[in-house]
Amino acid sequence: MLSGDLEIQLRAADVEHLLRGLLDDEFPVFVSDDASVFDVSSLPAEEIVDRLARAFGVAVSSDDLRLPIWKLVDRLRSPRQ
Amino acid sequence: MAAKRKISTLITLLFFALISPSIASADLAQAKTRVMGFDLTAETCIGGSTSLSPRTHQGFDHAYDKIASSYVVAARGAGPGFQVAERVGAQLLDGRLGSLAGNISPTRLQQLASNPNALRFLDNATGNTNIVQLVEGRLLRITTAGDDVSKIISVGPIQRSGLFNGILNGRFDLLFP
Repeated sequence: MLSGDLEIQLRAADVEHLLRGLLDDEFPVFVSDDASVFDVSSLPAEEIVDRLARAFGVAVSSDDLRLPIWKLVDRLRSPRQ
Repeated sequence: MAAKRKISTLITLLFFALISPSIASADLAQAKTRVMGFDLTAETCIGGSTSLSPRTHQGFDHAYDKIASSYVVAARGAGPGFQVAERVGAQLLDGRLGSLAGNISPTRLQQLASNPNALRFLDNATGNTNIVQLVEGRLLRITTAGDDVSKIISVGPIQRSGLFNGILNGRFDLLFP
């Protein structure tokens, strides 16, 4: 069965922005609330951190990459929280 | 031991890596034939809605979550309980899937997820499993939860280079059947 994606849908625009900034030819067709960036990209962690920094102007840690994507989006929107 | 395993994995993956446009049509035909076979089986059992095909949930746990309750497309006899929401069916038409767009129906996705011939990789970054196979000339990744392989958490294409690099740097481990 598919995992739920309610939180992803609530942040659809921001998630789209994140994925466009992160991915080239691996754009996913389904992302659930449980998925982290590692579940949509085969890029190395260092490359993911660099790309997110370029797309959002915010530095994230390698631990942040293990967050579900919707939580990572919140983290990128409010980096001090 | 680990090095031998990686070499074995890479040899297996050469099948995918060495596919060139000149021979892709033959492989494409094979893939299509195989998947068409799945579709034929599944679509004979598919119902337009859960109410019209009450047996579509046969064999699955009754404790459906809120997402499962909205499913309107389900396949019977599709293996270990993969189900696909109708909305995802529309997403599978997305042009960003390239040649895969419009060629993966929800039914077919369910079958692909349980395809015994697909390669399965443990992602050491997450503990999740990536089910990878060649579909319409592209590598399709179906990621399932590490603690529940019947739960699909993301679907999309994966680059050969990313897969190779992931194996070499130890991120991906081939799961042998």
